[in-house]
Amino acid sequence: MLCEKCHEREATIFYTEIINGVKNEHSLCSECAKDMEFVDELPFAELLAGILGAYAVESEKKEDTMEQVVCPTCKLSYRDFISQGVLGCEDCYNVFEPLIEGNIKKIQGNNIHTGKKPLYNNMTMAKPQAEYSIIEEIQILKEKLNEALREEDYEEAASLRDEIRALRERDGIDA
Amino acid sequence: MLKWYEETGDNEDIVISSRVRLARNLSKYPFPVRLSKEQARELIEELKAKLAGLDEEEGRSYHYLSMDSISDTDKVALTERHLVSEALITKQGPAAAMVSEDESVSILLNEEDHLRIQAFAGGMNLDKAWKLADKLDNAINKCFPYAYHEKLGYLTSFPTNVGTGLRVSFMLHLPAIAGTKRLAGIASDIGRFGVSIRGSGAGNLYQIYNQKTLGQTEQEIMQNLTTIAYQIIKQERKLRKKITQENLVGIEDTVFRSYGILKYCKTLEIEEGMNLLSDIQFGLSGGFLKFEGQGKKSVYPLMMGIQPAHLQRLAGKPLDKVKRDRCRADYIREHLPELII
Repeated sequence: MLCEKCHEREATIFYTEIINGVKNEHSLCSECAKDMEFVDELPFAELLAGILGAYAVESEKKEDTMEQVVCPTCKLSYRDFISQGVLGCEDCYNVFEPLIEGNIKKIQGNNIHTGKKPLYNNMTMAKPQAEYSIIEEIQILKEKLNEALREEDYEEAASLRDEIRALRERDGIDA
Repeated sequence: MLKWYEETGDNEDIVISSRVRLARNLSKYPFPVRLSKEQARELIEELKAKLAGLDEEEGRSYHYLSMDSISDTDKVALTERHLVSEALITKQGPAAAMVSEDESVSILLNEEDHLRIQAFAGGMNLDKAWKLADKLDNAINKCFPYAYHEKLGYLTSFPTNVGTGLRVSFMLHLPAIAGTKRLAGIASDIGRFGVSIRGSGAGNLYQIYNQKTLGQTEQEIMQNLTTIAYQIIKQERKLRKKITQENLVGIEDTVFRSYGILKYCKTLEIEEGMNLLSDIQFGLSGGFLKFEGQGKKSVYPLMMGIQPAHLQRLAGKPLDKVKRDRCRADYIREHLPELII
């Protein structure tokens, strides 16, 4: 799709703007989006949702199966997350981690926290585990592995393969 | 007690303020977007009850402001002082804020995250603001376990805040950079270092802040922003010097004319007011213009004072635009210090 502003470059940023209840969808290239920064700030949640959504469209097959995933604690579905860009509770991060990890890395440029840690959490908090069964988790990783292979990202594929292997070993499933 | 903006700080000819914001969520509640009204009320009550004890520990007294019990004008006035966010005052459902007496600290309850801890310091002083926020963060954490993930760090509603949950910013006065149309270039340069800039209303005020919150330590994030701020400050100073050397008489004339308009006008629109005050700030920093009296010489308190909601609070009633512009001119006439000629 071409950028709606310059009609020259490919649009990479999609966002939904709601003014007085009227919904407008926009698609811009990064150059034109940058120019807009001072005029009118992009509503960030929608911008973010747009980026995530666009990512999901790229892999439609994956979307079909994954959209059904629901956080057991707060009942947020992956589809909700894609449309709103916002997570519902701390467990969402565990539940959706395999799905959103790549996006977090894209937004943040990193996915490992190195800063401050809470002083008083460890005693009081037992971290809830992801509600996936190992088999489901392996299934997700496999899909990601296939995608990585399709995109010829062999480094990512190798690390996914190792993750799958580790999970299988942990659970005593034969490779 | 002095307000934060009445205290002096480093590089205050350009840096108006330093701000630190931490996003935190309690472990036992869903994030605000999935909270029912009852749960949200319960959360706020619980936070309010436990945080009341912070007063003694911190030697700082807080005002508790529930968003459903204060007027719309008061809400907007709080955003004009940057004490609460737009998101807090437009929030559907329960939300509140705790604001310290000296306005250096505010805690937003049930905004996009359960807690947003904000601290300000005058001039370039992230360290001071960080210490305030960090201490408060620990004190709150003592009462409530936080949503935290071993790998991803502090968990937030938006994945854009996850990790440190830290957003640091400087408010900069950049009349020379803005006046010579160099902002777009700067925006793209600093973007490469993960820093964004945005206009903060009229008056040549701009905020620079970190985009990323995950992967770097808090100290690294602050150091990075500070380094970039220094580069911008250096450019702004260089340009100011150049402009002044090229046309001292013209610059002096502009600054004094601006003072004259502010002192004697009868009606004043917000944008014109902010831009004229920006000229005065330029004159004060450059030493062409000197205010009478003691204390810090900054027009920033005036810039806040002439905002629409501030004027309406002062008047004690809603004002239409014509009346506001009139009140704005009156306010400036009354509060603009006399000059030493």
